[in-house]
Amino acid sequence: MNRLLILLALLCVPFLAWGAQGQLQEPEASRELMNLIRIEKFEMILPQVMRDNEIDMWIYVMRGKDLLNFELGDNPGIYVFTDRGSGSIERAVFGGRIDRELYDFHGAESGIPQFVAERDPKRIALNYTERQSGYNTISEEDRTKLLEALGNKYSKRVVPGDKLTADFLAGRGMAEIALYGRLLMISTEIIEREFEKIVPGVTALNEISGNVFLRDPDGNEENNTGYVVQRGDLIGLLDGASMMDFSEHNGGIAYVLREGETDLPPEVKRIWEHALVTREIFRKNIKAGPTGAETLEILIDELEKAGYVYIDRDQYDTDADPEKTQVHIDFHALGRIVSQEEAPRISPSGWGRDLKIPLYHTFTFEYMIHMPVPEWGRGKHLYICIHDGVMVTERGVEFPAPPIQGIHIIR
Amino acid sequence: MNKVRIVFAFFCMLFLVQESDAQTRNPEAMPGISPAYYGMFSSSNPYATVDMLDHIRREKFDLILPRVMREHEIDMWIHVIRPWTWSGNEHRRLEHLNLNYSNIDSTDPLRYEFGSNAAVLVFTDRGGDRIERVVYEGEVTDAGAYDIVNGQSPFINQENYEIMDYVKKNPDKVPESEMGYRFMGLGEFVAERDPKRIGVNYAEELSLAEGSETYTLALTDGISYADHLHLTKALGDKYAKRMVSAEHMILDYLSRRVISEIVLFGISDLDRTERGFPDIELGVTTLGDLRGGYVRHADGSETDDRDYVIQGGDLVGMGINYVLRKGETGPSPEVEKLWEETLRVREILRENLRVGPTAGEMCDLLARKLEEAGFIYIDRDQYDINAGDPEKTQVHLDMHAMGKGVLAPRISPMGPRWHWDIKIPLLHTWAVEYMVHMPVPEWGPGQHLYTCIHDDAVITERGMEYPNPPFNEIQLIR
Repeated sequence: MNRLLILLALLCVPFLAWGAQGQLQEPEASRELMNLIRIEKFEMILPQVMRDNEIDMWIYVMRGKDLLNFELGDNPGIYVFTDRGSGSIERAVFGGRIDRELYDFHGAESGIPQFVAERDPKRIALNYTERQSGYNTISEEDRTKLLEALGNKYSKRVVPGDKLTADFLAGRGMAEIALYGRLLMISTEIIEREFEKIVPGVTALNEISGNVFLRDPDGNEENNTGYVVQRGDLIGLLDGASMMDFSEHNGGIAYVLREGETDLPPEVKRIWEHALVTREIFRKNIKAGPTGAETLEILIDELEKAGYVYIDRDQYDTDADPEKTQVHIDFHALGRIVSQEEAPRISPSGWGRDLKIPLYHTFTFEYMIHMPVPEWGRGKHLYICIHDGVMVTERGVEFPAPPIQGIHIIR
Repeated sequence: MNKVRIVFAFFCMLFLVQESDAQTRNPEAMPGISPAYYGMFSSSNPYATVDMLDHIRREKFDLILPRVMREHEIDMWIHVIRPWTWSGNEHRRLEHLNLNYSNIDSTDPLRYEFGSNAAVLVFTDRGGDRIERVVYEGEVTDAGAYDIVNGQSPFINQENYEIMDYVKKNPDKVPESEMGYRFMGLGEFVAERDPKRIGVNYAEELSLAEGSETYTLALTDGISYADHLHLTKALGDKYAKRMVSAEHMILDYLSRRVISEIVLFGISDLDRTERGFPDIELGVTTLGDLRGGYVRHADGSETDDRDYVIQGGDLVGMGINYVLRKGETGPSPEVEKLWEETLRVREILRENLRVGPTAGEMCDLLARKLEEAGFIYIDRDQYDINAGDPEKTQVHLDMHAMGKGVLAPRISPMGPRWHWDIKIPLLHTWAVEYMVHMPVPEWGPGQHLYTCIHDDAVITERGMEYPNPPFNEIQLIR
């Protein structure tokens, strides 16, 4: 009997190993990769965003856990970035400790006034904002002390650094893009795996991982509740993958076949067609340069020209043309976690709408389609949410990884 | 004992089922393809899935194809991949694995781009944003990427009754050779589209098959003379006269990248970045024990013999992998200096590489910048004792394309001329490969230290970027 147990144990070991290898793994945050992303941000992104924002010097006071720990470092101190006219930006830290791989200069905090005066910046960004924002990170005490130290001449030149911070975070180097694509592929695989778990009449939404939802023909939503999946349901699922401070989430759609059905019913095929038609509209009309708000206006025009009704909230509008399909848009950023909200955003909400869409912006094609089904009755409609990771290149919008390919069928 | 056997048999069965399931769920698209050809599609890259590769194909059709056809003023591209260039050996070897392998093992360089190893493909610019994609004859792995897929000609197999019936019914329409069946009706198809210039996959100006390191693919010269004759006949005089070589367009199509290729390129080599060596025993450990590589000695002689016994002071393989001498705890001063020189060269490359110039122009520019910075540029990877100042470090460049073959553009004095004449395109993926030969005068005339750096890079509008970590420090082998 002992031999049997030993054999069983031995045979189980490779199975565990297989389980670990049989799917794409969330990547480990290697020191080399993290440093590369940081350095590329400093070398490639920072000079551009400082010039775009007409900032000669960026002072960032960090006293511990901070939104920019990944980019700037974990050590408390005063980080000063100066555009001295050459290709790159001078990087200095005052107080605390210094990561010599990343910074050119280290000094005591008392040396800041002289350092600033020697560089004579015309506009100095500081990590505060005049609006409601997570980028308002400097304490009042630090701000007061710093302005005093800078003296009258330079304190007058201080401006809010929120927009600069948002632009800096939104910029992507190629290593970040490769990572982004990798996370997209992993999340797509996770979504497919979750759909495979669903047993009609048995599985409840809250037994599926991720953000799981469905809406009835009146628009009432079940979201991660104990609702048991029924035949005929059209289910949406958002799930993600992450690595350290980077994350991404994708969306999938599944339809549960009714008894006797072997394929998607006509109305579900029709809503999928709308998903593809609108995707093309978005793809053709987004480019780097305009703000999110400007881009949204363009997309609204194009949607309406194509016969859709744009809605500024994710609810079916019973007052709109009952024959027309309604579309809602919320193209928010993806990638660095802290900048998914306060970043360029093609959406009716958020201050990021006023930021310009940068080259290599990584964001989601998140759009919701509310398609009326008149034969079901007035106001009755089908609903799906598409959520694919995309990015803006010189050629327009590209998919770094395969987007949703169709509606997953659950039998 | 019976119980043991039953349990063992049960687990063996389970293994087989699991293995086959794993391959079905996460199939690699191009197993058996060596990194020299298609590094990003290596079978060891778990992200090179069928879905990803199909996606790249479609993105290239959407984003690259219209551009290159219009830039080269080609209205129609006819690409013929001969079925008999495909041996089927790889197919038979991998048949049981249930993988998407059927487009490998052909010598056509576009076998992956089109997902086929035998076909007559026709791409037509009919206006608008996209190009019509037609598999006129043949089979493809990703039919959804095409607008029309006619499939294989029923007459390609000459041993069936259909062809006998056809010949009986249409004696005046029988091609002179059986090869002509693949082009039947193509004349009418082309006439309907009335192209002004028809690109066909033959070479007129370009030489050599591929890069200097593989030679195995037909590159732009895929169509056979016989097929060209059949095609000419099928098109008729009017359209045959409009045929031109598609060679430059094919090169552009191959060398331009969509962003999903950058993703795959960037994540393919991540494992390589987990560098490091096992501890060694001086005088005992061999190159073979360190998984191969090479050692170049101070006089420039090189060994890659796996039986070579590692010595203290050796620099092993690419990058700077320094074998500590007895008593040393860190790199010697001259190795530290070699690393500084290596980083200086990298900075010069980074400051100057950009989209737009030809590879040849860029090579000349870099050579000039290196010289201005106090280096001596050398056009071969050998220390030149007659190069001039014996104090100066010598640098050789060979920055060839990466990811999908050692293709052009190539920033290097090596390779065929046309490798240098091609402009560096946006999102070009390539190897930052350069060799540094640093003299150590105190060791004697001509004695020097050598390193070769080989990192992945992408050219963007911002310049040279790394999609994965480059060599970043001296690795110590203890």
